[in-house]
Amino acid sequence: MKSTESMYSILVLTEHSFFHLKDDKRSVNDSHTISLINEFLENGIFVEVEEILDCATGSFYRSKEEIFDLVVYVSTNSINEFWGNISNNCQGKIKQYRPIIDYWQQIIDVANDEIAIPEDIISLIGLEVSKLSDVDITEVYLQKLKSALKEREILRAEMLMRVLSNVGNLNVSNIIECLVEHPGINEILVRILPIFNIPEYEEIPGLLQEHIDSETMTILLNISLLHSKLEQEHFGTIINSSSTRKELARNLFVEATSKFSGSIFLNIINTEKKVGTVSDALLIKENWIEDLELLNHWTIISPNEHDSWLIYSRKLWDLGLMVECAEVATRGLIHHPESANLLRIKAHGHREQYEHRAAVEIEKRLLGKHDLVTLDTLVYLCRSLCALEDWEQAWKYIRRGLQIKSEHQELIKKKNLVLEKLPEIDKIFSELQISESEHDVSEENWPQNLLNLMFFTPNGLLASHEYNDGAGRKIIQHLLPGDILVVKQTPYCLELTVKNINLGRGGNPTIELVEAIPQEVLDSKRTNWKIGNVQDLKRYCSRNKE
Amino acid sequence: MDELIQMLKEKGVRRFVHFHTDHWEPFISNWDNWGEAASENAKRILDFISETNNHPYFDKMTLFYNHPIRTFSTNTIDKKTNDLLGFEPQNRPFWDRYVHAVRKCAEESAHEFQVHIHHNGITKGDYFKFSHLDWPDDQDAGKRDSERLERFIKETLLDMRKVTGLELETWHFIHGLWALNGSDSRVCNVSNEIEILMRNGCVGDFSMPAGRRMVDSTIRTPHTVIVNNVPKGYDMPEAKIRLIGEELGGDEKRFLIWNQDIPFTHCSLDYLGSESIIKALKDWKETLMIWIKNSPVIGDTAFVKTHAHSMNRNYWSEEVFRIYNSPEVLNLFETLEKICDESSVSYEKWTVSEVLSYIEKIDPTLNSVFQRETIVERACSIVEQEIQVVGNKRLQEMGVIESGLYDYYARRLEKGSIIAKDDAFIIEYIFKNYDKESRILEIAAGCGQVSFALERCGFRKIDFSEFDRKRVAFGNAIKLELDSQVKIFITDYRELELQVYDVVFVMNAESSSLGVQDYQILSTTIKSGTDVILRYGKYGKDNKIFDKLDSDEEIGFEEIINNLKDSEKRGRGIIRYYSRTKEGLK
Repeated sequence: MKSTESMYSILVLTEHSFFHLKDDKRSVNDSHTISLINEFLENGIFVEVEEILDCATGSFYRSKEEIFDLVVYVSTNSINEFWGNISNNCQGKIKQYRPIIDYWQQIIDVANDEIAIPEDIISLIGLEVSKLSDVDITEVYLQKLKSALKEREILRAEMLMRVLSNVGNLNVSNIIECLVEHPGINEILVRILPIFNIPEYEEIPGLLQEHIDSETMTILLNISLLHSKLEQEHFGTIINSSSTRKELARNLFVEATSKFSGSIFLNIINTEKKVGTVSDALLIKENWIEDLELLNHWTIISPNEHDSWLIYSRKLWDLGLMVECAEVATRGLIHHPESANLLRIKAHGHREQYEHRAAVEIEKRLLGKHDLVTLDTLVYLCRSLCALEDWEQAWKYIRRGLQIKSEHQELIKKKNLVLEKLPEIDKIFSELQISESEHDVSEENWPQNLLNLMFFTPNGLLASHEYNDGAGRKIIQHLLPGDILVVKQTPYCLELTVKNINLGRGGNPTIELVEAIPQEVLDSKRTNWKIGNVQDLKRYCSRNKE
Repeated sequence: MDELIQMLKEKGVRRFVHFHTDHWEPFISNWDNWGEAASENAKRILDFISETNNHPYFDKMTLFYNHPIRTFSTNTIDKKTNDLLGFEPQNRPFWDRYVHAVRKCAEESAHEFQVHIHHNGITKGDYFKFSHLDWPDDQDAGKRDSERLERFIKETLLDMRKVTGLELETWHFIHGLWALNGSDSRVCNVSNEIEILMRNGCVGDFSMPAGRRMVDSTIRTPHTVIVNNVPKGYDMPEAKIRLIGEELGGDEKRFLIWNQDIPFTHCSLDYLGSESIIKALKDWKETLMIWIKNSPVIGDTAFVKTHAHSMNRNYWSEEVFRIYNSPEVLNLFETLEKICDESSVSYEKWTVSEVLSYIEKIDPTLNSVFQRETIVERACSIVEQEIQVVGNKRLQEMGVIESGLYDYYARRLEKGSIIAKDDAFIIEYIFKNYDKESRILEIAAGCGQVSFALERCGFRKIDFSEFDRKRVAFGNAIKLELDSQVKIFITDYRELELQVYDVVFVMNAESSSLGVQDYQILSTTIKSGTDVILRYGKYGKDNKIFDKLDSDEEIGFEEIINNLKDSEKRGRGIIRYYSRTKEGLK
């Protein structure tokens, strides 16, 4: 791809109506703006569009920090009389000083209603331009689009998609493929659907009659079906073979080719809440937890979603399919190499296959991880080490385990086994310092495995995930205003002060916090936070007993 | 037509003045995250400017602007305001678009801005929006109306000044739904409203003739009143009503009430309003007859005040005329102009301010009774009051030294005046000469009385530095009490980055550590474009720094104030140093 620095770029300033969702708001400038964009794109020139008002205020909500070779003004309002200072504001947007080109004065041949770019501008372009092919220009737009979506610059993203829709030979499905992972895409797709001219599946409105968000869902379903390359006929067959809404959602989901379309298909049954407000994980757990085909397909289309691997592998485990479970975890680790839960499942698989050396290597990695119960890790280590007859190593971990829970039956048995094999070992070890004393905290009566998995509500409260055995709520009940919580999710580590506790009769208790939660966290990283300051929590939770 | 010409000739005036008072309500709520409503809102205002620019009859309206302020409610009574309702500036996405358009109208059009406030949603009456709140038993929702209205007015004025860039030292008023001073209990129950308005700079009301006749004064001509804090008190003998030109019989502050003996239906231009208004607009002959016959005459000039709601969304839909372009309205004014021409009477368009200037010229005794406390005076008075409370408390509890007052403030407290005359001079100077967005640093600020007062005047980017920790503690206590955003540095100012400020000033810094040795830092700051204001005789132990700065060719200087008391003057007054090459006075 060519670098954006080397290509010729133009900023078109136009009225707000160009961006307006409603057709009845269009002005005479809009069709000319589109023609002009086409003209530039056909000449291999990169174009962005800005609302004149945002140029007048200096906000540049759509073009942001971009700088251009030229600015063209498309409005029937006179630049100076109506806007006054936009020329000054624009100077920072132009690489080298050049006056703003007034479309109605300098470009359009009004008599013939033809765009006639004047010679001096053509020569300017001809001299300096590094023209782009359709493929190059699409790539440039896609890169900028991804970046805008990542930054949640929705106005910029929408503008780029509007311009992109004018590029020749555009494959809409490919574009959506590139973008569906990004937050906020649903919102933008709903707005720009009309300009992409996406075919509409006539059965959809009937399917969504009772859906609270039927208008948005109709648009998103049309896009999802196109994106999943579901022909009209095949779609009809799926509808006919599905006797319930749930079955239809399921049958479409297993045809989905991306997380985006899969998620939209699942939302067919989510009739009482808006699209995007219920996670795929929750919908699947509540409706299809027994459906292995669906769970497997989920991991295929949403490999970056940790829950897809975890839920699928746990189901296999529950069904006693240990080896299959480990295989899923191994595949999941490609996408989530640091996942403690997947590593544990992989280790289980090794143990099932008597590959204890490999299992030990994994458990040693897990020993320092707060996601899992240390005592469990020690027990698994002891089991494998005993199986390997590595008595000295086994003894080391047995001792550590027993320091945590002296009455642990399995460890006591293992201790006796080791003493039977190596009667002198106790004496040898009693003289050694146990170097990992930082792990030897007394954890009985303390559900350390349940410390994790908190989430932020959209308005910045901290709450406990349902699937952690209610551990979060046990902790919440013991907290008092002023207590400090350290919550972590890579790359974040937030130190938060408890402002208030809402116990919420019958509901999920929440923690009001003194500090504001970063917006990017609330936007895209609300779930699966771990509490880090274990020692403080122990103190908080035990003070009532005192 | 001849009849009307004859009638106007017989009226015997030299001028016929039309002034239009628009209930200008351009703000559209329901903004979305995509900025569509924000852009449409701004575009409508920009179109209004463009369509009325050079308009033959409506290029110089008086826009009684209803500035949108956000009302919020709290679950518990706020300790400072003793209320469940609070007010703050709007914080909407794309707000800058709206601000741009309103400011352009204020700065670049010939229209004049005045104040239109609808308080019916936040005070007791049929339109009150917050009766559902959990009001304490001892306090019904309307009990705090006066205090709440005053807070609302202050917040509106503060933000309106910021948005429009206008000073609005004094201003005029139109009451939302017309019910001035509790004259219609369904709308307003604030019977000291005129007093509140006057206290905040308001000179007169232009609500009448009103859409609800019951609120109209029985005096159907422009007149003045004194404060009479009872419902519709302005229409009672206690208000000491005086017509323009009548002897006032005292020097009490007065409030102008514009009324005219023309029915509401015949001075409203809202052609999408009631049938009677439409009928009056269509029957131009009868309307003009009433205007000519009944328009109040002051001096040699007859006045007719019209009103309308030109930004009402009904006038902005497709295929509907704007008020100022409605054929009936245009016909009315074209005919009036012709009649004036034929009668050798000058037809003129004035703003409310021009009307006021004329009235004061005709009746100079009104000059003093229309005087209002200035913004600087009000700011100083509020800050003075708060500092006295905080200062006295600290003095009592902590003593002269520990309180941070030391002898200087303790003496001033005893005199009852924390803000000294010199302080007031510099506040006034900065207020008049620097933009409200300027970044300002006060050095050796003591407890920060000048900085706090400047903030109250509308400056939002004020910092001050003070080296003495006890004084800073005193400053912080005041800051808390004033709910101020002023930033306080406990440091030697020379450690700060001075060049980020537009102006740095020092009123009193006689420390031995300061002096000519600071030439480098001060001259570099000035040459970067930052103004530095120093008081002669009050920087260090000698005046060598002044000589050194004076002799630098790249630095200009001017004595901005030289009317200090002789004993304090020490030769010169307060001096502004500026860069000769970079722009000064921002």
